[in-house]
Amino acid sequence: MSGALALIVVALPFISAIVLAFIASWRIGAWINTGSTSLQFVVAFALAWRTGVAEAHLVLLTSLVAMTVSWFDRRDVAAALVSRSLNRQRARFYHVGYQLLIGAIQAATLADDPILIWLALVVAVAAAAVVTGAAKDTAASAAASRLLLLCGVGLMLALLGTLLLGMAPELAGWFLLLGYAGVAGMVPLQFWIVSAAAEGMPSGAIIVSTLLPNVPMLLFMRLSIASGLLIAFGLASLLLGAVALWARLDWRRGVALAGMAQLGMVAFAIGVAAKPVAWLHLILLGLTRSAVLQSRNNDMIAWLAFALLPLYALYLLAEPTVAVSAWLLVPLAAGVLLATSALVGRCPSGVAADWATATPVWLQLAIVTLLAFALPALAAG
Amino acid sequence: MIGAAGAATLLLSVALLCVKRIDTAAWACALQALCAAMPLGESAAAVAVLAFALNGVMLPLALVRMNDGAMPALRHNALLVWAMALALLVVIISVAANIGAGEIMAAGVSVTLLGVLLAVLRSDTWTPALGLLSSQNGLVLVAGASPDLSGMAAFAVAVPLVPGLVLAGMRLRR
Repeated sequence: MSGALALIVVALPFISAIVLAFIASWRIGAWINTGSTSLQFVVAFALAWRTGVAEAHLVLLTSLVAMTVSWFDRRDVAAALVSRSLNRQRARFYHVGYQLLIGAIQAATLADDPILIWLALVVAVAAAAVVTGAAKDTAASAAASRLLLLCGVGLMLALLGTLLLGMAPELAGWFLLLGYAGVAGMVPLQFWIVSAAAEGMPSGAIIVSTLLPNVPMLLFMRLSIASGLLIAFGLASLLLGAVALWARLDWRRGVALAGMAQLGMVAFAIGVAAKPVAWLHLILLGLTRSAVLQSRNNDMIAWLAFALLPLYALYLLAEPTVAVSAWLLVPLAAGVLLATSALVGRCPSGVAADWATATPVWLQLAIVTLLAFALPALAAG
Repeated sequence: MIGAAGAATLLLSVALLCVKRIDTAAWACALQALCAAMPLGESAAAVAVLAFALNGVMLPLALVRMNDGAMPALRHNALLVWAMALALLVVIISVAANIGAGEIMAAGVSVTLLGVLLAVLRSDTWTPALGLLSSQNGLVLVAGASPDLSGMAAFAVAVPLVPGLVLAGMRLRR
C-alpha cells in the first residue's frame, strides 16, 4: 500500500506534465496544475500518515508548498501574459516545467539508489531551468543559463563522488559535498540561486529556491560525509550569506541569501550530529521561506518568523555544538546574529490583507508554530 | 595500453585549456572520448561504444555545427589558470597515491576536474559545454577503473546528460 502511494506521488506530476504539454489554453493548464498538486498533497499526506518516515514528511512538505503556490499562480501567469513577458506557448512550458520539477524532486526524495537520485536531480535541474527561463526577458534567460551551468557543474562533481563511493570513500565525500552543495545553492556554487529567485516568475521562483535545495540536504543526512567538512561548508555558507544580506538588495535576493545562510545551518547541524535539529530546521525553513515569498513581502509576521528562525535553531544547536567544540559556537552565533539583525532591519510593515495571499501564508505559519513548539517537546519527552 | 589511454586522456584535457578554436577543441574532445572509452571497453564493451558514440561523435559534432567562430581568450590571467590546473593535478595525484588509488582512477578524477575548471573559467558561450563534455570523458575513465559498475551507473556515465542539457540551454538562449 505504501509502495503504491509512493508510486502515485511520483507518477502523478509526470502524467500531469504529459497532459499539460497538449493543452493549449493556459487557463485549463492552470486548473490542471492546481488539481494535480492538490491531489498529490492528499496522497502525500496518506503516505506520511502510513509510513511516518522522514522522507515521507519531506514529500509532504514539497506537495504542500507546490499546492499552495499553484492555487494562486494563475494571477502571476495572467499578469505576465498582460505584460507580455509570457506568451501562451511559454505559459504551457512553464506549467509542464512546474510539474516535472515537482515530480523529479519527489522521485529524488523517495529513491534509494544514489545514481537514481542523481538522475532525478538532472531532470529537476532541467525543469528548474525551464521554470526560471519561462519569462521572455533577458534577465530570466541569463538566470536560467546560470542555473544550468552551476548546477551542471555541481551534478558532474556529484556523479564523480557517487562513482568513487565504492573505490575511494574519503575522496567521494569531498565531491558529493561540493557537488550537491552546488545544487542546493550553497558555497561555492551559490550564485545561481540568487538570480533564479529574483529573475524567474514569482511562483516558479518559490518552487525552485525553496524545494530544490531540500534533496541535497536529505542526501547529506543519509551519506556518511566527514563531519568536519559539513561543519566547514555550513559555516562558510552561513557567514557568506549573513554578510551579503547587509548589501542593498531587493527583497527576493535577500530571501535567497538568507535561505542559503540557513541551509548552511542545516549542514552545520548534520556535521555536529544533531540530525533531528537539522530536520526540524529544514522543514521550518521550507515553510517560512515559502510563506515570505507567497506574501510578496507584504506580511510582517511571515517575515519575522523567517528572520527569527536562525535564533531558534541556534538555541537548539547550542548543546550539540558545545559537545563537539565550544569554539564552534563563536562563528555560528556571529553568523546567526548578523543574519537575524539584517533580516529584522528589512521587515515590512502590515500584514497580508487579501484572502488570496493570506490563506496559504497563514496556513504555513500555523504549521510552523505547531512544529516549532511541539516537536522539541515531543523529542524531550 | 590502458595506462597509455588514461595518460592520453589527461594530456588532451590539459591541451583543451590552451586551445583557441572551437573546431580544434571539438576534435580534441572526440579523441579524448576515444581514449577514455578504452579502459571501459575491457569490462563493458557496449557501454564504451555508446559512450564514444555520444561523447566523441554526437556532442562534438553538434558543438561544431552550432558554433561559428573562434573561442575568445581566457577570462582570467592565463598564468593563474595554469597555476590552478597544476595545483589541482598535484593535489589529486598526491591524494590518489595516499589512498592507494590506481592511475586510471587518478587520471579520471583529474580530467573531470580540469573539465570543470574549463567550464567555469572561460566566459564565452560554448566553452562551458565543452568543459563539461571533457568532464564527462573523465567520468567514463573513472567508470573504467570501477570493479563493479551497475547498469544505472553505466547509463549515467555513457549518456552525457549534463553537457547535453547545457548545450541545449545555450542553443535555446541563442
